[in-house]
Amino acid sequence: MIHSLFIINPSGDVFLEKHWRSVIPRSVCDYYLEAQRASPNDVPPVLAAPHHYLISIQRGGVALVAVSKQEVAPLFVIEFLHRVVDTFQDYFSDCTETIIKENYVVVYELLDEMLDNGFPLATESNILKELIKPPNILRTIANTVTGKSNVSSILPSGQLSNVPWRRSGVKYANNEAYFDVVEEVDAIIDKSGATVSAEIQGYVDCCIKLSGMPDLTLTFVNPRLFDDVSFHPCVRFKRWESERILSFIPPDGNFRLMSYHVGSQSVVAIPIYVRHNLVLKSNGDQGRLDLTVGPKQTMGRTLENVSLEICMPKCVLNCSLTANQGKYSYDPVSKILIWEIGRVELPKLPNIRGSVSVASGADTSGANPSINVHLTIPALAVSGLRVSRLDMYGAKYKPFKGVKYVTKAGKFHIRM
Amino acid sequence: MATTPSYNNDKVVTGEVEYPAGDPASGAFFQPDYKKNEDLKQMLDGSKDSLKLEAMKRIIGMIAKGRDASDMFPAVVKNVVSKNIEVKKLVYVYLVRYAEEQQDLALLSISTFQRALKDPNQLIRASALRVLSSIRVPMIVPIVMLAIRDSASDMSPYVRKTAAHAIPKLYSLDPEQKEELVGIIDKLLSDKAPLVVGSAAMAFSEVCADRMSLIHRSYRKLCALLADVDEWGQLALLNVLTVYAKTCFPDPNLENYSSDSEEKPFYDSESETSDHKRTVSPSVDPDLRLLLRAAKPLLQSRNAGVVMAVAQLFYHCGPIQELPPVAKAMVRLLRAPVEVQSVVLNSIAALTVSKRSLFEPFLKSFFVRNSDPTHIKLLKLEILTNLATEASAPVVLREYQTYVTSSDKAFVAATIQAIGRLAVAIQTETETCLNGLLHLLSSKDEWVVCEAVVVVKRVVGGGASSARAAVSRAAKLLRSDRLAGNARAAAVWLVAEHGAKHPRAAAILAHMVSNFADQEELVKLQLLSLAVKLSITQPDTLPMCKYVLHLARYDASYDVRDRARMLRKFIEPQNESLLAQYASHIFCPDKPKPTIQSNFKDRDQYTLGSLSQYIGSAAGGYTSLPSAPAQALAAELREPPPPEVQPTPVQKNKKTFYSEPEGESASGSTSSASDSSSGSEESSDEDEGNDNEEKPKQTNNYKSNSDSSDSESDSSSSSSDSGSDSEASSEEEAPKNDTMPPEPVKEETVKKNEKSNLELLLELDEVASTLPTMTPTCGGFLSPPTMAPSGIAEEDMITPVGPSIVPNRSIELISRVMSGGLSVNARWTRAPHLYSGKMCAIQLTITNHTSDDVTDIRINKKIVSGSRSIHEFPSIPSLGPGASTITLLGVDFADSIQPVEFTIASSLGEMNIVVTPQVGELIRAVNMSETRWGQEQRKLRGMTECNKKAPKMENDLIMCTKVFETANLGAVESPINFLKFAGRLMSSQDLVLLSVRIESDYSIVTVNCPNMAVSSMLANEIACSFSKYY
Repeated sequence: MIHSLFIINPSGDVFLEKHWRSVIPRSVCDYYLEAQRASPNDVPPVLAAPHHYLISIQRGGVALVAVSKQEVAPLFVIEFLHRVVDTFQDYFSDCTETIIKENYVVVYELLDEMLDNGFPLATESNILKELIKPPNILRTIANTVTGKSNVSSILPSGQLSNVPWRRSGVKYANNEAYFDVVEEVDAIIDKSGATVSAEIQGYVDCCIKLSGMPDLTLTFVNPRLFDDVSFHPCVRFKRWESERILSFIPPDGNFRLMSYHVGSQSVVAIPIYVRHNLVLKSNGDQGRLDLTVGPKQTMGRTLENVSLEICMPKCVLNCSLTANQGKYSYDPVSKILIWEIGRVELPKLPNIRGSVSVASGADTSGANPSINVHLTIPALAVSGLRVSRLDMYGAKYKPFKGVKYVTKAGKFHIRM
Repeated sequence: MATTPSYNNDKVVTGEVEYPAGDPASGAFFQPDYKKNEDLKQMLDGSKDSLKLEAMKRIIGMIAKGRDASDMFPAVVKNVVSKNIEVKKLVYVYLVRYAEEQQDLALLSISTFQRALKDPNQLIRASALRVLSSIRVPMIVPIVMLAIRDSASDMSPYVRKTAAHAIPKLYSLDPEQKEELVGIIDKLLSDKAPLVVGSAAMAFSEVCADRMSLIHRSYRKLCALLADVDEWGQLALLNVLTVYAKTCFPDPNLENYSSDSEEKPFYDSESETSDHKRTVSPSVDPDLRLLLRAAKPLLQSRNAGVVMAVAQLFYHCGPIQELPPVAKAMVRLLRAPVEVQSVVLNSIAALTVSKRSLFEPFLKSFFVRNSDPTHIKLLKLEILTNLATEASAPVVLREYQTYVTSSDKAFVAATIQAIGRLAVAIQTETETCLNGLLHLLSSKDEWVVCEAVVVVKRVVGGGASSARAAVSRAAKLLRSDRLAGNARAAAVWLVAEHGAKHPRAAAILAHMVSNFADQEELVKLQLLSLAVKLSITQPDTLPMCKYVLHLARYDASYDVRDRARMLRKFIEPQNESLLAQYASHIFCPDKPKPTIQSNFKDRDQYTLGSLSQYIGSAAGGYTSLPSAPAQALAAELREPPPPEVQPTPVQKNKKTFYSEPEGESASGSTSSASDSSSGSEESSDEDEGNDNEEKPKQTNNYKSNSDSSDSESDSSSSSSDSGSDSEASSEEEAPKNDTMPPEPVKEETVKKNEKSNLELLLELDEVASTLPTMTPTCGGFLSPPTMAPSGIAEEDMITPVGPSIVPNRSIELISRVMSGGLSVNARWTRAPHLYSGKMCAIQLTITNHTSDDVTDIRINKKIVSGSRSIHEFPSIPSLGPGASTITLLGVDFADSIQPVEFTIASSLGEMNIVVTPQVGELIRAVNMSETRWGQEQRKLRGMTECNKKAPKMENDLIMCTKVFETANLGAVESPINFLKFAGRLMSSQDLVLLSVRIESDYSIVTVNCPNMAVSSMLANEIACSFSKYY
């Protein structure tokens, strides 16, 4: 169980603490800070201090450190902390130090509702939003005028119903249901351009604004594509197992309906190629870099928002390059070269070339930088997944329905 | 700015940020704090809610920042009664934080919570219980205990859930309450609301994780509910059930499988059910199968914790053939945030040590990316090494080739080590690995070289095949003087071990010895070994060996000198001792090949996915899973207890409810079970609106039943079915769980079954029978609110008994003089009235002293307040002169000694009557065992206890008589000089426990009763009666 929570900013100050049991002095965070100082980007999520166990996550520039006094499932705590950050993002649209400080009262009330004596009480966003209204300008004004507060005095009925994720009495003038099918290509491409591993991680994100208690059924044209799936608790699993359709009563608002994985068996289309040539001479102090980007297996779509990120070897001091498209920047401290290309339109292939200055006498052999690729392909699900239809039961109106597909590069690495 | 009322957040924040003391650098750090708090106090003391809110927000800000705000306690605690819900909430937050430090002041707020616990709004009840139980003040333990006990049988499942949450809090405050809390946990575990069950499981594992016997009864129900519980509850429940399964079911992997151990998905469609009966391996206990089947869909949960908990269950309790889907789900978690990855990879690393084949298909998922944090890279590397087989080794090695050029040094080092392990583990690849390693030896990066040499030393070990090449390479390196300490020592060792016959070994030794004094200690020691070995295999190097020993003799390090002295004995030719004879056996034996083990080998001993497994040592509070028994335990205990009174059709229904489904599909039966339970929940819950009635169809998130795909009409008919099921089951449930205080409405139906003919007759007369009244003979004792924790045997029950003494003394209510001839005398019968168990029966003797008939004697006007009530006697049509009649009057005093007033009207006019009860008459004697008495008394310590000193009497008997005369109590078996009595209040059914401890010259009367007024009055009266004796 979680005894206490500390929120720490990047400079190592504890700026919020909350205790659900006896107070644990904040000095316990020193163990975390020590680990963070040793390797800022590589703090193990579980740390053992003499009498406590620190379980931490880092998100949005802040670190959430949960303290437990005894054995507890680490994934339970980590999952919960992520849920806390998700809730903050849901409420305040972001989770940064400034935003938490600005809204500390709501934050405190939220933490109090979410955890009771170290055990989660209410984590569904629909329930929390009924208990504690998210702050917005209109409500702030209304509260000032009417003297009402952000805290609701009635128990959200969802908590008691058998559909705890949906609040009751939802009413919209325009009933809409939007589905975003987002696919991310995770791949490792080796030096010679061969694919070492490639898989697709997909999500179906929904924005559902429907009145009443709609019962939705989402059908896919080719559901056999999925290797592995995980669902929002609202999805009826038996129905999926037997008929391969998603049958659910949705929560109100935005949520992730399912995430899926396509990979191991099927061949994954790699939408981009990068021809690269990096020469670092150890004797001279100049090296050469030449990169060309081109589309590959894009099924006729254009690549958009393409950008390459290269972590150069330590010996590289600076780069002077010329790009025929987009712009580049090089940070000599973190040694990261970023080339933002934008749209890739045939027949012109984006190219960047120029010289890199190398520290003299440095050892340049064996350095193997890698390229991280970012891109989006609109209106395409690279796995070929298609939604066939959406049916609604349990409500009289005709909702407006929409499906959008997009493909992105996930963890897309090219080894140089 | 502090005084302007502002509601909105932004303003408050500006206030907070600008606050002088908030920033130490502003120079206000050393200013006295009291002034700032003074203005906060003023705001809190004021009457404006807006100011209070503003002040509370700032105080909460201080708490959030970890600054001390305890001096505001008195000002804040007053506002606990605030009407403004936000102020109230913030006060709660404050109170929970500081109550421990300001215990006395915190007590001021308790009564507010006690009141709120009786509020009709379930949210208020629940939050009151939450805060009350969070206040860590030992003095309120009895109050919290009472509150938990009441809330555990609340009608709202939300309040019951809160009660479950409160249990561990109370337990940590006062571990002595364990027994009673365990009783409540037991009750909550058998709750039917999924909302409650998860929290109950959490309380169970916090308070009494070792009491597996509590689970037996509700095991099947818990399995059925698993899918409906919220995700955190699933986590807690899975953990409990895993331990349970491990404790009770034999390991399904121990027995040999028949040929049909194919991995078919089990029980996925109903038509196959009967087939599967046969294909499921016989060694899986049906009850274990039930659990596994219920848990499997949860692998698809979005919550990584739940997935891991299922993996834990399958890994530790399930048959090995069913693990592949688990592995798949775990691999899926690798796409979660990096913290989750880390924990999952850790578990996978431990798994791959023993169960490599599980993850082999996912080899590519563990390939390292440059952007991974180092500790993730290391874990992946570990897994890759564990997974590599002869077939996949080339792929893995190619990956390693890329890794060794990484810029992450720790990762490179680990990769080199991994190559070494691979070389040892996979015979066919040894050559390739060694070549690769040797190649690394000539790397320009000194650091890589050192690591490589150390690994080569380990790989080469005893196998001499590739040793030659290694030695040549090492020799070259040693000549180039590029190696640092550790690596150099390893290189020398390599030459000594495998190159003793190598022609260049002597040259190397000569080269190294030339600057012996400058070598590091470790290298010197190795050089000594090398010299001795060479002198044995190549006798012509003996002079050089002697030279080395000579050098070492005057070395600065005593280790080196010591070693030299010892080695000298082996090579000195003059004494042909045994040592020299066996020197070659000692220095050049055939050594076995070294085995390099995974670092995660010992992680296997910890439960999969636990914190202990992650850190590699047992964490505080970690208990390992018990080892599986040889035979299934307690199978019969999991059977639902046979209901006592049951109409036959219901019994049939019951069969399909719990037992293995035959014709019906498994999923169908479980969902109908949950449906019926939710149905019964709703029917008994008045707080919930009727809108919930329509929902049961939509509930089953993970186990949508087959008929939900059918038409609407079908589903509605089936829901009405389940509704009737639930009624039937709730009816039969109640007598069975007679340890649970059933809700009054339910109870009514229960008792109808048990009523005798006489009572049925009575009931026909009573128009009021529809009211929730108690039937006379049961006296309301069927539903004591404080019930024994189940598991207490029959003889431990509290049973009502008749009074020990019925006083004959009668009280004159109306004298004949006042009324003009009609006298009324009253006598306490000490029996409950027939009309209701809450009513005292008062026997009225009405005598007509006039010479005429008095007609139409009846009660006319009743002046009663609150919940008190009077049941009038049937009117007497006429009473002859001189005649008298006896009639019974029932009065419910609602446990107070406030008098009740009524008038008796007759032909003589109206007479006012006031009946004032003695506190002793408000009690009904009960019988209980001494241990039970002790238990109950322990629950009622603290504020509900009242002590009085009284004189002592010559023997116990007289004292007993005195007590019986004063109060209607039952004697409890007790030791000499410590008399114990027990009773129940008529109306509230609260227990009244009286004890008289007889000391040498006085006695102490102690009364425990939840009703504090009663306890103090009774103690007084008993003490008084003792003193009257003299």
